[in-house]
Amino acid sequence: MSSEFGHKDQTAMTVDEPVIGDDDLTIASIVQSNGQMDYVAEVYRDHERERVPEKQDYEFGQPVYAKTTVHGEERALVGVVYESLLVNPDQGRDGPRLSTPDQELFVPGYVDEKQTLLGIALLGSAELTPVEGGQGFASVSQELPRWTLDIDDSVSKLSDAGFRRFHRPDGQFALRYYDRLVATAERFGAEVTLSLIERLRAETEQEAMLDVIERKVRWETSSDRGVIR
Amino acid sequence: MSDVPEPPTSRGMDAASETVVGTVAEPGEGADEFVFVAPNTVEVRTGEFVVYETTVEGESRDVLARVTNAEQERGLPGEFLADPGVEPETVADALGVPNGNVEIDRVTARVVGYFDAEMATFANPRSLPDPGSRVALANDEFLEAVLPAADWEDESATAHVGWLLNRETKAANVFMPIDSFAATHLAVLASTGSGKSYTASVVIEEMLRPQSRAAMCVFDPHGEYDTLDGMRKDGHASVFQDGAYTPEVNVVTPDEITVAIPDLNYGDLLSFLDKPSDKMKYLLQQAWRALQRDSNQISVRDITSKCYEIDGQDSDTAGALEWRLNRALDRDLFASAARNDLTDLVAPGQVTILQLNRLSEDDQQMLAAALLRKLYEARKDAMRGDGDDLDFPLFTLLEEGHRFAPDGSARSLPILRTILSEGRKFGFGVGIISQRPSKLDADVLSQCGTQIIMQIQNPNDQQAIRQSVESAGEDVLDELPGLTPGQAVIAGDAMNTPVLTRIRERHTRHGAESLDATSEWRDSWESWHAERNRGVVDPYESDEEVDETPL
Repeated sequence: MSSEFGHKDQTAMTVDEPVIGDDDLTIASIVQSNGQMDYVAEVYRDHERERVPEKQDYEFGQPVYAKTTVHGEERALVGVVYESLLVNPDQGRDGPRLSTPDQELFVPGYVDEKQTLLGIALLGSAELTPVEGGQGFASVSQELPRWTLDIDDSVSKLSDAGFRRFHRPDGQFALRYYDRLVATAERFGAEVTLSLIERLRAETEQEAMLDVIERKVRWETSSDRGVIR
Repeated sequence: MSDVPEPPTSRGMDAASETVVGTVAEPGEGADEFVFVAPNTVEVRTGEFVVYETTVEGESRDVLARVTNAEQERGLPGEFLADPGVEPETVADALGVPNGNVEIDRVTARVVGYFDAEMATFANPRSLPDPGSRVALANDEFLEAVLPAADWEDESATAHVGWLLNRETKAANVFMPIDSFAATHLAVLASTGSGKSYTASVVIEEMLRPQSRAAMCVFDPHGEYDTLDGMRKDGHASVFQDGAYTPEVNVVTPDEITVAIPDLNYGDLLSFLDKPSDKMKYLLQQAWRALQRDSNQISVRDITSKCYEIDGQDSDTAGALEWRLNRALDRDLFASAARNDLTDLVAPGQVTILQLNRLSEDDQQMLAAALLRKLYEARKDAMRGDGDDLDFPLFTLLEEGHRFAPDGSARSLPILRTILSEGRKFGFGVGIISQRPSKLDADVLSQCGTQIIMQIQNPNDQQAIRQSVESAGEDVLDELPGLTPGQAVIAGDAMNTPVLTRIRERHTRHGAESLDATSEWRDSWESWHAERNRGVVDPYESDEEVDETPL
């Protein structure tokens, strides 16, 4: 049993391993926040970036990070996509319209203003340390991040290595943001947790424990939503 | 084991120990119950003694309470326990649930009281602790001093019977004041195999130590107590010897046991006879009275010749009596001479073990009846100043007590009832040991002022204890099925409140081990097998034709 719970997980990361690289795909920029750990980001569209994210890059449950600087030190705030919203300014209009009432000219629709907004819940933070080939995570914390992001901060996809490292803050597997995530994500709190668990299954060897947590989450959700009484 | 703990000398110590175990939350269900909340890092088990401070009539008092129940108030949710292979703490840790020390218990305790030095017992404060009061574990030394109803200031001896069950081994000694239970009688009740005779032996050992030097007599129907003569061995000198004193152990083997006919009474005699007619009864009564008046040496022949003397030489009635008397009394068990000197049998510093294991149950009862009557009369005489045969108190222990004082009738029952109800005045104490309290006479059981009760699962026996033993409250009775061998509840006159005790180890060897059946079988088979190989040829190995005729 000890090997399963012990510190020597085969997938355990070393601090020196690069988890953030220069070529990480940036998928969105922060446009708004709904609270300390609940942010809204707008997905980059054509021409805004060299590599434009595709649908699978900002799917539900995608782990992400955003860099921010505190006390002159660079940190990564780690989060997860838990919600999305499609915005279309044309919605409700049928047909071409005039640009202004006095200029009776037909103008093209606001094609470019169609947006995809993502709800991002912050899960924790980590100090960034330079390592060979990129940056590594140090002092990973799954506590509520104390610092905010800024408008226009870039949100990037978190690598698998970063995801693993983030879930072993002190060498032990942990999911300590669980209750906060559920509170923030509300409707889909269970689902986003389950999707993170799904990813963790591929990244760690904590099958038995993840089973227990998954069963707990499913049971709680079912009873909260009135399926089980 | 030779370290003999010293009994306390006063009760002046602090009641509370430094270990604070919880905080009072609310009153409990019962009038004298309260509930406190305790982190589960401190183990507070049922039967444990705790102390809180309260003000009684303007004076601050430390009140003792006994824990009666402990249940979990808050613990890890069931979902964390879903997989036996995953430790719930690990799940809790992974999910960021505060770990370690998260579980808290709701502990119910019943107030015993504060120790009233003047009354030398517990007084109920008639108030419950305020919510928020601190509850601490009771101090070991304090418990040692206040639990027994002993007067530590005088020189009375106490029996060290064991240690408090809930405390660490040997942390808190349990003493029983010998004077108290020797005067108001003792009952040792337990189902078989829980250590009745072991416990009784511990009590005997304590009573024969130099500090008490009791005069004891043990009725031993199974021959289990002869190992007590180990008290005389050098190895135990530090425990049992003091100057010239060494306890005497007088083991009376079955072939040495006799019943003196003069010690019998008319009723005993009558009960031996096979369906006597009224005429015979009358004649026997006359003869018996005459003989008892004349001499204290009566043989069967004396009785029959007296009968002939009264009723005429050719009396048919006397003849029929003669035949019946001879049939009943002409055995080695009966002796014609009365026991002159009872001090042969009982003396201070001496335990006499009457091994009755070859006597029939009926004979055992008769012997007990005759002997107890004799001893009781002698004690009464001595107290009245009519004789100095037994000018010292006496304690007699009856193993398999339900044989001698059954719920029903037995020859020995009337005298036992008498001794149990009146013996206290004459310094005659009785200890009844039984595995079937329900089969004991209820009066006899209720007269035993001190009880050592061990594991009892039979509901009838529990019921008998509930009905007859005053001090056995519900919380004590609840403990009984859960006790393991060697654990006992000591309650009654000798204790100020019932105490869960781990009985100490005996100094002497225990004589009532269970038979090791499998090894006995193996040994028997070996010898049986060897016998067969030596003697008879195995019929199946011979070449002879086997008779195949169907049986």
